[in-house]
Amino acid sequence: MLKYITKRLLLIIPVLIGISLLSFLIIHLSPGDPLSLKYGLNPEISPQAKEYMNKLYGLDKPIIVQYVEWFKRILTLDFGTSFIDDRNVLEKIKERLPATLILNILSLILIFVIAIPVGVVSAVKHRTVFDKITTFFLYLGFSMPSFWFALILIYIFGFKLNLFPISGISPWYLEFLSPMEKFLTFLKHLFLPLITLSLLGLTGLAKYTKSSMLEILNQEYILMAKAKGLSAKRVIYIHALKNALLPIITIIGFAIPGLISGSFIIETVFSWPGMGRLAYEAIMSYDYPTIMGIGIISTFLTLIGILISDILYAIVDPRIRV
Amino acid sequence: MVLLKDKRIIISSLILMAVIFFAIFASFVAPYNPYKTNLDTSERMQPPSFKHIFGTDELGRDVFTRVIYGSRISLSVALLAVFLMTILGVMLGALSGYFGGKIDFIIMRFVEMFMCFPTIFLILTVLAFVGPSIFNVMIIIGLTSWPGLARLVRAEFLSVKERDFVLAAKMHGFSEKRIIFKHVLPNSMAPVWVSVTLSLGSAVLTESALSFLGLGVQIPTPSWGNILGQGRFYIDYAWWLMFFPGIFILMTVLSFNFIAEALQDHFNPRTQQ
Repeated sequence: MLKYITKRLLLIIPVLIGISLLSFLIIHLSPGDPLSLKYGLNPEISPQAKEYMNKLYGLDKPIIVQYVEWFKRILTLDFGTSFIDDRNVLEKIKERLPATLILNILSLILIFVIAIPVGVVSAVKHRTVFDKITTFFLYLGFSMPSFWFALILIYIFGFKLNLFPISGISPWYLEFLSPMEKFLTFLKHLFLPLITLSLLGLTGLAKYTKSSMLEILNQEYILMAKAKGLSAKRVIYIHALKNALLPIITIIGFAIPGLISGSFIIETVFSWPGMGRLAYEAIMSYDYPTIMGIGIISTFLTLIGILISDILYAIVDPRIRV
Repeated sequence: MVLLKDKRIIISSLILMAVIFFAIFASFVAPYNPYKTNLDTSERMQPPSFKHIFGTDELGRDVFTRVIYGSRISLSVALLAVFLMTILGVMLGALSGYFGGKIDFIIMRFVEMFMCFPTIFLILTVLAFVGPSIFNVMIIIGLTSWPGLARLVRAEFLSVKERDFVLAAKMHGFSEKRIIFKHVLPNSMAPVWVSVTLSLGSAVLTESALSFLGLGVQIPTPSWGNILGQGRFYIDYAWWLMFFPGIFILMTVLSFNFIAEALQDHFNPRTQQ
């Protein structure tokens, strides 16, 4: 077991180096060096000042040296200051992280609670009307452009029915509300983004559960259990389900980049003040310290997620450890 | 052909053929000019009517015309991006699966790298720095979407290369190039077709999301995503601006996904029971 974990940990190193190299190169090889992006619009900058800046940021050194120094800094989570407001990038991310985490964790829970039963039932009742209808809706959700779905919800619930607020996390009159009312308005603001984000992940997981379950139901040991005269319920919910859910553990880790990508679009549409929206703002204003900071942080989150799900998988399924 | 009897395939192909027809013959099908603005108040922001079946936008342009021309852009971006993805994915997956060892190790680390990164973030960052254009969007979607396919092809190669006919080919003394391309690859193509069809759908989605966010196809060139992205600002009183391009995206992606599912069932009858 220890050997397995060490092996997984060692495999993370090349990925981390690769990602940091990739993001470093994208920004340094693209037209316009960081300094001209930051000060390019200021015509009064003198050559001396420019040289001083180059020295200060280490831009006069060879690119390899720059990379190594930058890599050392990011290991301590030091991403520098933002080009937009000169604030510490890590501080900016920390400020936005809770909103994203709340949205993503709640939607992850919602996804699991709905998708797994739907997938299981639709596999057990394979080829029935129930299965056909759910399959159609799963495909519909899977093919739906998330931003379009968000706009439809905004149109119906925001403009026509006037039930839910369509953007932001809190109204301007927040300070005049009692704690209970604050919580309720928060829930109201959360509703539409949460529904949209969950729909994205739900369809994929339900389809995955269904095919995993179908595959298990065709295995010989299930036939064996049936032949032994065990009740259908016992066979399905004890023998089959346990084995079908195993591979799902591994996709939790890989679901993180998808969720981040999803919340990226959804936070932008709903003006949700999370990391996704910060990333969008940073990209639109070429704020490269912030862009790199977010990129590295989301890679860290994903790698940790994958590592945890790998370890969990190895604990529950002894076949993997060999 | 068994496949042509599948209802999902028939309906989806009809929808896709219609969209492809629109894309190719846009200048004949579309009733108006997609770029011609008409600022006359009687022509701007008109709801759907017989004259303009999808209504008109804030500049008095016919939305139906723009959606038709948009299918040209959206489909060609998806086709070329997926073409690039397929070449990269099959080549790298085949190398990795057939040769194993160091090549496999390096390629798989690349695959992991891409899979650990939120793709849309990577694509948007690159687009912001190289500048958004139709060509850049195609290339970047292609360059970032191959890892999934490479993993599939690799897994398929790992199992096919152990089969007896490959051993027989080796004993005949055939070159490795011949074994890879003439023996192993043709027998590993089933999951590739499924994955390519699915990717066409997801490329349409990615392109429209990028154009929606303003970093894909740039206005005034119409693409489904940017018509929708512009329409979003007028959502409270002109629903038709965002509704119709969304329907086109949904129908196209849905058709690709249904065909992929039908192909999957066809190649792998086990999941069908």
